[in-house]
Amino acid sequence: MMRTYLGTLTLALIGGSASIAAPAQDFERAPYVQMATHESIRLVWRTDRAMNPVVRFGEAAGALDREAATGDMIVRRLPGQSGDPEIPKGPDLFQGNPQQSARETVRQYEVTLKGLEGGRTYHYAIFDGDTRMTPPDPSYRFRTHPAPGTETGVLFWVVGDSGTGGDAQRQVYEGMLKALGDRQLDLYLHVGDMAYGSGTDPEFSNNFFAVYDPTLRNTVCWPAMGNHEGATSKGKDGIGPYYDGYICPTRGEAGGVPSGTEAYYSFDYGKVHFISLDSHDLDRKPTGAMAKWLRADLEQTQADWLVAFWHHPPYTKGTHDSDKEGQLIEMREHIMPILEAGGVDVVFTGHSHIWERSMLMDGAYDTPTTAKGVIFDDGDGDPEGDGAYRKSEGLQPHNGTVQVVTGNGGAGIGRRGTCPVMRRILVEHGSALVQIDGNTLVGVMIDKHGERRDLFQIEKAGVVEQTRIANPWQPEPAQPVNEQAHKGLKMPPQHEVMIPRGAEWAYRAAKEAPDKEWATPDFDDSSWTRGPAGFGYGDKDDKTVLDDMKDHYKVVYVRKEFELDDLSTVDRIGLAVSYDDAFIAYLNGKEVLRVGVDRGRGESARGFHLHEAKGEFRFFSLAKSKGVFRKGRNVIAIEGHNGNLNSSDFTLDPFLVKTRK
Amino acid sequence: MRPLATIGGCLLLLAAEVAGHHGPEEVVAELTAQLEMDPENVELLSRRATEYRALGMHAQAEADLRLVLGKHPQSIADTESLARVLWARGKCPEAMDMIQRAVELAQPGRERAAGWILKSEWELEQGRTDAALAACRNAFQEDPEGMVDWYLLRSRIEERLGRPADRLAGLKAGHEALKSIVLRNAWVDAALDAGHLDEAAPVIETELAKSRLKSSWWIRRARLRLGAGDPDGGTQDLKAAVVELDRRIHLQRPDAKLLVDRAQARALLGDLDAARDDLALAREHGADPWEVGRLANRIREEAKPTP
Repeated sequence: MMRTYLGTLTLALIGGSASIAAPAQDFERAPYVQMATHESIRLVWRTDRAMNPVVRFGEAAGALDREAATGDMIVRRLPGQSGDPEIPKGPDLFQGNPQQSARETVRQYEVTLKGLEGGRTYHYAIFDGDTRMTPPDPSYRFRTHPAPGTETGVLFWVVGDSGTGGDAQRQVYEGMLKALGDRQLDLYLHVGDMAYGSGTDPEFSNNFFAVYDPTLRNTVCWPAMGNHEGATSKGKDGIGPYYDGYICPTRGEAGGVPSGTEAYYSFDYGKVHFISLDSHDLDRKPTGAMAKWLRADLEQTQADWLVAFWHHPPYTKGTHDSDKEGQLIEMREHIMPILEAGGVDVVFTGHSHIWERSMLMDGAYDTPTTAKGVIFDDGDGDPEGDGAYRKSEGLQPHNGTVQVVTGNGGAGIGRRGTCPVMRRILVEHGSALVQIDGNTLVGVMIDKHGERRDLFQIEKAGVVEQTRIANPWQPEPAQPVNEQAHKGLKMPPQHEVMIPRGAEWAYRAAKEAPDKEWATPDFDDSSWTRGPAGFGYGDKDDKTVLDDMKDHYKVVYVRKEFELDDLSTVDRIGLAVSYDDAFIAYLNGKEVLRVGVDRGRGESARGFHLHEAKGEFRFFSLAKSKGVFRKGRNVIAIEGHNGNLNSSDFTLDPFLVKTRK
Repeated sequence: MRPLATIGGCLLLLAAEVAGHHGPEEVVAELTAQLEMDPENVELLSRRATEYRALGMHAQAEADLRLVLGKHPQSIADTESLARVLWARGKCPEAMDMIQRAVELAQPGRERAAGWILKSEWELEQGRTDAALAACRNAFQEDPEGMVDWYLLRSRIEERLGRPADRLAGLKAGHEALKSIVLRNAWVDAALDAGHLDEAAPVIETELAKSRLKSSWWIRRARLRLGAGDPDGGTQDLKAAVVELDRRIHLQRPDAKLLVDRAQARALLGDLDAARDDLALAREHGADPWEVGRLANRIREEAKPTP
């Protein structure tokens, strides 16, 4: 049965002008571009049957005046399959067990379009004989790499650990497309784990190629293999679904020196040199073939910028620990000295499901990692903050590197500690957009809502003599994960009600923010509306229904007075709440609870951890704030947050209780 | 065909991995929890062994792999894994048996060739150089194109056995087959070692003209010039190499190969004490013992008083 690409279509429509595109319907794996150089590109697609492939291309969507030669095509099938007598046969597709492999009827066609000019946009269409298979849509296009050494900018996307096929992956992709707007990506780096759970052929089709189809049809994804792909693909022999899906340079076809393997390679885009390494299943030691190739590659590149990427991060305390795990330690101890002696500027990795971005650093090869004496600039790298990082012009040894762990592309995120060289640590889903123009590199983390969550900039000019900071700035230690503090406790069975369920509260539900004193006891809320708790929409659990909230505002403010005659038992008072997605509570004007919101208040709050109410009340003790209670009149004020403006529901249903001894 | 329960267990595991965090400790914990319900699930045991190996917990990995192979003695991947674990644990005779078994179990072609290469590495480490070469040759018979590492391994064995012609020919063939620059550079070094200066010279000049970082090529040209009776030219190249290497070598944590290069340059300049210091540091930072050893021998030779 042919796969349909409904998910892709939805995504494309949401994605805005960067990706509006009709999906191709007759493909087992929709067309995508690979191995771009300044004079050629490879088109790859799969069908569920033999076909008579014809590729027409040209410089305008309406003028596809050139046709690929049959001699520039190959067809790949599972071992033992036959057909397509007219087309040269390529290497067999990977055959593992039936769950790991493509179906027997599948054909993979690979067509090289040659004789192209550098830095030009070409449109293409795929035909089966005379029958057009790709729709007449301008998104079926590509741009060749600029001629080697050309001074030109490059805009690229970096994402890692994304291939779950889940909502977070799609949201991160949508967020990137939203942030991209009308701009076009020049290329796309994937730092591995693009096909959970074992990198099988069907997982590649469903969790990678189908999801990113609108981008892959016109933008080359240059990959690094992750451990999940490594379950079925092997760097040592270059066999497996990963190696079937990607076509990577082995002979320096796109710049760089020949590696003789697709497991590690390099390529150029203008004056930027990109290096991809296999940190998963090859020898990572300085004596290994990969390290030898890396040295030779670094010797030859004449680029102004050097970007390296692979899967296992040399510095992380996200869901992985670079002080404890062998692959991570080896990449730091063995590979980073080679790269920094060769002048690397930025390293992108994944594996650890978090965003961690370092200060400008060099020589941090010890285990455990320490920041002392390895940081050149401990500022935030933001021109509007502490200022951009400064480096010497060109590629200079040991002149400073920024490390970026972008394993937050879709899989479950987390943090187990604090890596001392990091400047920005975000436990949020997202990905990186990077722009290099002349002597400036700007990297941003875009979250799944399309918002910028981090920015760093590197400026290269003249000669910069770096100085090592003995005791650099240090990131805040990770808060110990306390599931009870974060999500509350089950309701205590024995409690006395202080503000009953469904009580009337003053509330403000509008786009405009309230007076900044709104949570204080003396604030006059007489102009606010009154209504019974809970407040919300969409899930049929609300007494005060906020019909206008969806697509208009994300925050609802509520206030309620209560009396206390006796302060001796206030440590047993707590808030009971059913909530979706998050809230911040204030007692007499002081913040006493923050649940599901990382920072900020009101409309400027950020970092939401989405939560479904499901009709359940959770108990949050206020014992730690017992000093804030007053004898007599007290005011509890709560701002309820919806994680997304267009969320399908919202709930804020609070009441106040005191537990019994 | 594996039992359905196994597949179900794996699906559960994968679901857990996708949904949650999965550092190796967590994966081990998840696998252990599932193994409590399904203690003979070989897929889970094999996965846990992989995670144990990533954590350097070889004893635990060995225990799991033995259970796996008890159920599935034909599993090549698990046999190879157990061989490496036993090797890492110093259980040499049993490691050798496992390596031999991996070779026997493998399918003809690249899979079996990889087994022979493992055996070759093992023999070389045991000091049985002839046996190492024989295993390596078997690998190339199984898969004539080979992999970059295989050619490098064979070159090293042939150098140790004093077969410069075979070494040169093998590296040349490897470069022609794979186009790997690592093999091309290894061939240049082998040509210099063998005194085939005319063959190496054009490559060295081309690389010097186009390379951004030139120290390794300056050292090669110095060897060429010294060999051709041009000591002034050689000295000039070596001094240039040392200047560049000084700039690239990180004082606390250097790339060990750069230290070996500087040691070689200093030795050729006659500064043997400095060369020894660099070599000692290189050894400390994980330099290739083979490269360090051969350079140390040369330094010893240089240091001998002229009769």
